[in-house]
Amino acid sequence: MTLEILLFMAVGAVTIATAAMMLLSNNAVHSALFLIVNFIGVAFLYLMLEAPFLALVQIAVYAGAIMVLFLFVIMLLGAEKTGAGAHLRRFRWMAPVAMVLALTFIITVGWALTQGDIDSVEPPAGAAQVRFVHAAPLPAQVAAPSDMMTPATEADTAAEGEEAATDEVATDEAATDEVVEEAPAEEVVEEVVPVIPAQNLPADRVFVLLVNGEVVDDSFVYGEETDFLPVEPGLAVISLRGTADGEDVVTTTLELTADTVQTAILAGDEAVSFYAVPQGETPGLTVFNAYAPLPALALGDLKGELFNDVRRILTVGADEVPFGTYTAPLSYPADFPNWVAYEPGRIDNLELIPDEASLRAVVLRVSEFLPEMRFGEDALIVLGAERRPDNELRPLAVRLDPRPVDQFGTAEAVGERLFTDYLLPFQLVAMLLLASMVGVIVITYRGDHTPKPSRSTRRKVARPLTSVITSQTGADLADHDAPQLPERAEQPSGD
Amino acid sequence: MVPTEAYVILSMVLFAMGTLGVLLRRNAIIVFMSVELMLNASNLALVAFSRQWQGVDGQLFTFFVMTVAAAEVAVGLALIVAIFRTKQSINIDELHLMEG
Repeated sequence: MTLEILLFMAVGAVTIATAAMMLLSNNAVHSALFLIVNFIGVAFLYLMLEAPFLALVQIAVYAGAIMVLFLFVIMLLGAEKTGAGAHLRRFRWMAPVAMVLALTFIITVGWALTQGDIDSVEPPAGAAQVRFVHAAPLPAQVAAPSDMMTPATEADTAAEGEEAATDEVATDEAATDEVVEEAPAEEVVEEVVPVIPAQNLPADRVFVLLVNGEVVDDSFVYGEETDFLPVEPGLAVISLRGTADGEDVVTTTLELTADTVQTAILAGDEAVSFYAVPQGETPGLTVFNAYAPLPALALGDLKGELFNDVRRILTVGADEVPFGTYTAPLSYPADFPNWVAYEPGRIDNLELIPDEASLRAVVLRVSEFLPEMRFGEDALIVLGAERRPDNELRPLAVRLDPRPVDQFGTAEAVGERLFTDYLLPFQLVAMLLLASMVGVIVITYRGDHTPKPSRSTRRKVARPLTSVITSQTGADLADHDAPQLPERAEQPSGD
Repeated sequence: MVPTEAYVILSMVLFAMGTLGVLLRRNAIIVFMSVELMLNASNLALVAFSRQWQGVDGQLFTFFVMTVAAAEVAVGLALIVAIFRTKQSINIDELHLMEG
């Protein structure tokens, strides 16, 4: 028998005992005090039932406000002892009938409870919380996207701009191979990711994002993320539709497990797909590699050697992060994090400023995103690439904050539902309270009291002092020829 | 973890006691307190089921029940005060004649 069951039995015994004492007590004040103890016991049970907010409301509203009202009325009426005498009772048959009724109730519900076997029922699987991130640097919509992206027109591309285009196609192919071959081998990737060839995507590059047929974002552009959305667990069907017309729709699927918090990242260059990154249990910095030009990235810490010639990199536990995968949550130092992402095995060529010449060796300084973060905070950094107007790729990182975990039963969780799904009932209850307040005033208002004789008193005072003396002594002190204030002046100027 | 069944049984017992109080006690204020006890018992069952199903809806219903109970207590006590002024008694056996 655990401590919790012992506590439950103790508190339950207290609630039942105080309820019985409330019923049996002859003094109404004692009854009210027993009921307060009963309410506090129930508040304790709420705490055990993961409802801390309700426990506090129970104490404040029930044990506080309502019971004070009861005690106040009892004291006001002096009604402590009324109704105690059983010999005055008119309905003598009531007691056995009530006992039978209560016993029937207990037997019926108890039988239903024992037959129903409530505790074996599993709660239904909750929806997965998913946000979608666009991290695929697709070519600009103006600059004829099919030229750069379609492998069939490779010759055309090479003819137009030799060095940049061939370089890019080569890295693109490497990236695509990486997606197909490396992904199943890596442990963190759970399933083979369905791939959409980039040339199948809608032409205008600003997508309408649909999940299971419902529009969740009508302008899904590069570098932006959606809010967390509840999505039914299982195989979610994600569609990308062009904004211009609803015709060209590309559909892919994403496997989502129930009760998880995930970030679905649209990444890729030649072929894009959604990669699911779950929000980890352990805090730390998760880094997702969405940088398509290289097959893999490594993460390192330069420490303070940024300005020296020493090109020494301390590994931070992520020696090789293939494209489309992510690291385990990394802990990062609070003092001076100077993290970079680089191509594995090319430390010698490491440069810190990205330019065209060293594009393959240098990727990114992750540290730029670290100072905003407090130590111990949870975050996801997506290492991606940005396509410049001349179709070159440039490293870019996007930092994403984790979803705050809302604790079950806290004021935050209750309040969020209260002001979204239950807003109308909330307003109705507020109107009910207002109506009851007006009703109480109407019920207890005494219409029979006479109006206060305040007006005549005020007039008497307002009368000049001379006239008061005149009325008491009989001698007329007033100089009637002197100029008088108008009689209707309500405030005498000086007396 | 304490099984939900235990909470529901406790709630059922409290509810039955509240029913007995409403039916057997003659003091109108005690009757009102028994009604509060019944409302609390139903709240307890709602919160217990809310934990069982891991949904906040049960707790929200409890919240609404508390609010309505507060309104009900205010109006009910006002009625008791009004009745006590006219009849100088809150014994509900003496209130059956419907006379002002």
